[in-house]
Amino acid sequence: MSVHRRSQGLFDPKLVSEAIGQSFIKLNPRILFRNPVMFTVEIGTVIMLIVSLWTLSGNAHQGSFAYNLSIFLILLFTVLFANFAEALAEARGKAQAATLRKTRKDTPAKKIVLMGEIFLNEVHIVPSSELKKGDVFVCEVDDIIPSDGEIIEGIATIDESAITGESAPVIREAGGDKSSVTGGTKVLSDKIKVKVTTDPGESFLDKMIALVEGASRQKTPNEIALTILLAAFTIVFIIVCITLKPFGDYANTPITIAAFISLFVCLIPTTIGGLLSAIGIAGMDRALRANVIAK
Amino acid sequence: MNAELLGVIVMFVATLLLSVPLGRYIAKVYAGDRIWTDVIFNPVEKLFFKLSRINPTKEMTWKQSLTAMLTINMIWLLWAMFCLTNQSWLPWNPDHNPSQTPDQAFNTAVSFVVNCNLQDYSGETGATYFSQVFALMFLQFASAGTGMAAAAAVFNGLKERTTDKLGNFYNYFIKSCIRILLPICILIATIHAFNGTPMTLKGMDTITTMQGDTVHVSTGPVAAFVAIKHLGTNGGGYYGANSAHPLENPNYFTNMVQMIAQILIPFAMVFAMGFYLRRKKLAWVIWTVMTIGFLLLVIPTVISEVNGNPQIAKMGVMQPNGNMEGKEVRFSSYATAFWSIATTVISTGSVNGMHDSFMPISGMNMLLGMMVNSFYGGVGVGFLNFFVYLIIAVFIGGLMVGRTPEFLGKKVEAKEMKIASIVALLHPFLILVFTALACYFASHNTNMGWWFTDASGKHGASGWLNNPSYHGFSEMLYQYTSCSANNGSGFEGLADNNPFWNITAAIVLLFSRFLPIIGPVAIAGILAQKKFIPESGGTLKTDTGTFGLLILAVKVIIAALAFFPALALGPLAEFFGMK
Amino acid sequence: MKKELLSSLLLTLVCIIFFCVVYTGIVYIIALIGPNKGEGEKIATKNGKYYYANLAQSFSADKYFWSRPSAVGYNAAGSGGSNKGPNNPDYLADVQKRIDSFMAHNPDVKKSDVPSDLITASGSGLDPDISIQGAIVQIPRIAKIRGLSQEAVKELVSKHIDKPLLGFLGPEKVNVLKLNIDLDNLK
Repeated sequence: MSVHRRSQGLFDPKLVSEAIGQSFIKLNPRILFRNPVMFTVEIGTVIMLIVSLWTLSGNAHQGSFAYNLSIFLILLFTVLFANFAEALAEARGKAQAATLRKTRKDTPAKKIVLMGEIFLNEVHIVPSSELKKGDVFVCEVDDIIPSDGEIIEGIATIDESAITGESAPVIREAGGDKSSVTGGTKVLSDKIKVKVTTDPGESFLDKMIALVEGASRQKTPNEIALTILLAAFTIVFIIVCITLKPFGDYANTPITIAAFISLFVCLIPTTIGGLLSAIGIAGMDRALRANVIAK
Repeated sequence: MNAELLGVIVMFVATLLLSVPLGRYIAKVYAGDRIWTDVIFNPVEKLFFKLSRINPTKEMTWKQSLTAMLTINMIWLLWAMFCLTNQSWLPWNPDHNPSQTPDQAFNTAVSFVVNCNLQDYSGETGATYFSQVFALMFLQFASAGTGMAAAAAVFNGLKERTTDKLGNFYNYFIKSCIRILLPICILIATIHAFNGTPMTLKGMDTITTMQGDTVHVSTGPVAAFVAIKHLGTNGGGYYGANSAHPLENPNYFTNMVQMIAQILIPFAMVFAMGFYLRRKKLAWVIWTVMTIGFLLLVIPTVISEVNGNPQIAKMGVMQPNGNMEGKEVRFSSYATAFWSIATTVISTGSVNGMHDSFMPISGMNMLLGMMVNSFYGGVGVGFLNFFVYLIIAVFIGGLMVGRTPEFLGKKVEAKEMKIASIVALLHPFLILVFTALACYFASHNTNMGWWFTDASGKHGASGWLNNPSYHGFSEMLYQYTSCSANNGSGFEGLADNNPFWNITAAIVLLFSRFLPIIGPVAIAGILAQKKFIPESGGTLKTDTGTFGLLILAVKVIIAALAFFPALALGPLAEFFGMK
Repeated sequence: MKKELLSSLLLTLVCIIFFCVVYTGIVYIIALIGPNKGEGEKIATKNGKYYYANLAQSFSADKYFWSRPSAVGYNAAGSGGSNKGPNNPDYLADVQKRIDSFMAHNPDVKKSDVPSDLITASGSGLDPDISIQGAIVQIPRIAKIRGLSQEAVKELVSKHIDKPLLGFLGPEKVNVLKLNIDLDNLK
């Protein structure tokens, strides 16, 4: 299948410009809230903006305006960068999904029409997207199987490397537990008759597209557990920073708000938190490129 | 090599050599295998079960186990409160000591129930013989047994099978007390009685000294008390000076016995896990990780104590024995420094020198020992605390190798992580928040009213500090760290016998004892219900050195990041201020 | 829950009887067989009284070896250390005072020979021992005031050095009380 004929450059200008736009849109707290770590960084950024304006209006206890402003800008950049990484990964995912979708439409299917225009069991060439559950098609040597289905007649060796990554061809035959074939795999020898088992939009390819797009991507159990762990770390460090205030008072060492927020951002797992979703999408992308599908 | 250093090394090696066979014995006790001690203990146990109407073969789920544990602990708390607040008229009060005030009794009772033994009172004047034996010593057995029973339940949950039952809590509890604690205690108590530790009910003695002064000598049933105090990693001394007192710890030999007694079971529980689950290699990995952590703390401490106090060196005297303030000549700086770290990494909290007078680096290492709280750790609970870190490390390691994390053939998922995170979060939360509160009051010298009155009758909060500046901060930090680690040692200069410290400390104690027991038992219970997955080529191996390093890294990162700011303002600032 | 409560109550009762009465009783009986009947190591005096060998006594007179400073006034009705931090100015002033006082009473001694255990308070306030150096540094004073030769006192001290456990574990030390009793007998 032609999923990745052409590997996109990491910084395709079109994708980058779209990602930059997205990274500002994602500043919306309601969107960012889903990522607790970056959300707290954003709160810190807002506080620093207020502190900067405060120093500008004449408060002298919180350090110079330039100092506060630079902290604010660094924080803002941190949040934007995290958003950018996520947006770029998403954009790449979308671009790939488009390619995949094209593949699906373009794959010709040799559909067998029971009552043909002229003969019984006439073979029509139709786009794979028009196959419905229960339809029957044939595949010969070098054909790409257009949809998920079950072999009802014949035996064939099939290259499933596009899906499983396993380069050795496998044998599929009618009857028994080795009768199912997946859309996107390629027939290497012989001829089979296949009955479609999924409706359009539900096939394996469709699921793959959804996965890459990240739209219906469910968080994996591990991701959920990791988010819990990261949230716990973040809470610990909120406590660390808040309690530092009375500690500093006791030691007669006043600590500026900018210092608190900088310390906090240094302590919390910002890197993992910021890049987590980007990593997820990028991982899917790489897996596809290596022709491995995993969930 | 000098004799003082050699003494310390012999103590450590002897403990290790004794703990492996003890671990095997403990594993057999929990597995219910036949052992040679059955002849003596079977009838005793049967009597226990019969009198208390318990069926030891009836297995409990993790929820039932925890209900049983919490119920019986509540009864103990009430019993101890009753004894302490009424001790003045109860029997066995030859010294006519008064009853404790409600807040003090609450603190004392809680701290003994939770195996902490904070002791805001002083043993000679604050407790009668009746309270010492019937409330405090009883709880030293009971709280140690509770910790061990919880660990046994966790062991049970980690077996290679699928079940929702974790054994019978009462059964584990009674077996721990009778078959493990009791015989060793009798041995230790005998050694002490033969080495000059009092075991009498005669009451305070009065003697005339060589110079003709009349002084009083407080005695009592000390030998029996000292034995379980160390074996159960309780640490509450019979006397105010704890194991620094020459009657409680008369010579170097008793010092060694006490030292070995307190590390023995924490070591042995790790090996017991190895024997019980037939994963000896895992046990050795865990033990090695704990030992590396211990050595990282103990070596700098010994060095800094042996080198002495630079401020005193400036005065022109010699310090052949190191920093001797608050230490005893018969133990030397080596053994005292070693003890100070051993007692803090384990949750004993007994002292044979006054921690408040140790050098800043030593103070920091003691604090770190309690902040990590699982380099060995207390009887039973030390393993449980380690287990929480283990789960977190398994999880991180699993993600690193790209596998769904599993531990001993059971998948570790979101629910377990939630519990482990809460338990790991609790410790820094309690320590930092309460220290911040005390700091706030102290720095503003808040008028505390009923909550605090100092020796001169003033209510200003800064009056509870015995030392100024950074060391004063360390005193407050140490107190709550000690509570949260269920340790019980203290920078005793802090004036902590007043409602504020008694009550806040008791609150910290209750949370920090029971949540870290409930958490791991719940995790074990949930894991036990999961399907067992046999080990395969892709499984993350937990019994390798690499994984050991990962656990160590997780602990160091959590402790270092969470507590470094506090340590920097306490002992570290003091250290740099001394130069 | 009700059954849980009953079992817990009964179990508590049984445990209290067993661990508080039976265990304590066993140890008590064993201690009775042991030396001093479980009352601590005692030293009989000539006038029919006794001292506790393990408890420091206050020796302020120049004719006796001094014990280590005590934060509780050598009264064994209580116990404890000073709990002063190593950098506490009050504490350092106390130590300086002790050094000055020691030097005033021992004019023949170099300050750099005074060991720190003689000028710092012990942990319990009842430490019965001093270091070997702590005894040696007091010899000139004792010899002078008692009119003894320094060698005689030195010999007495060396007789009272407690060797490490088994000869190789732990520190050497001198029990001040035993030393002073023998010092009185030396005449």
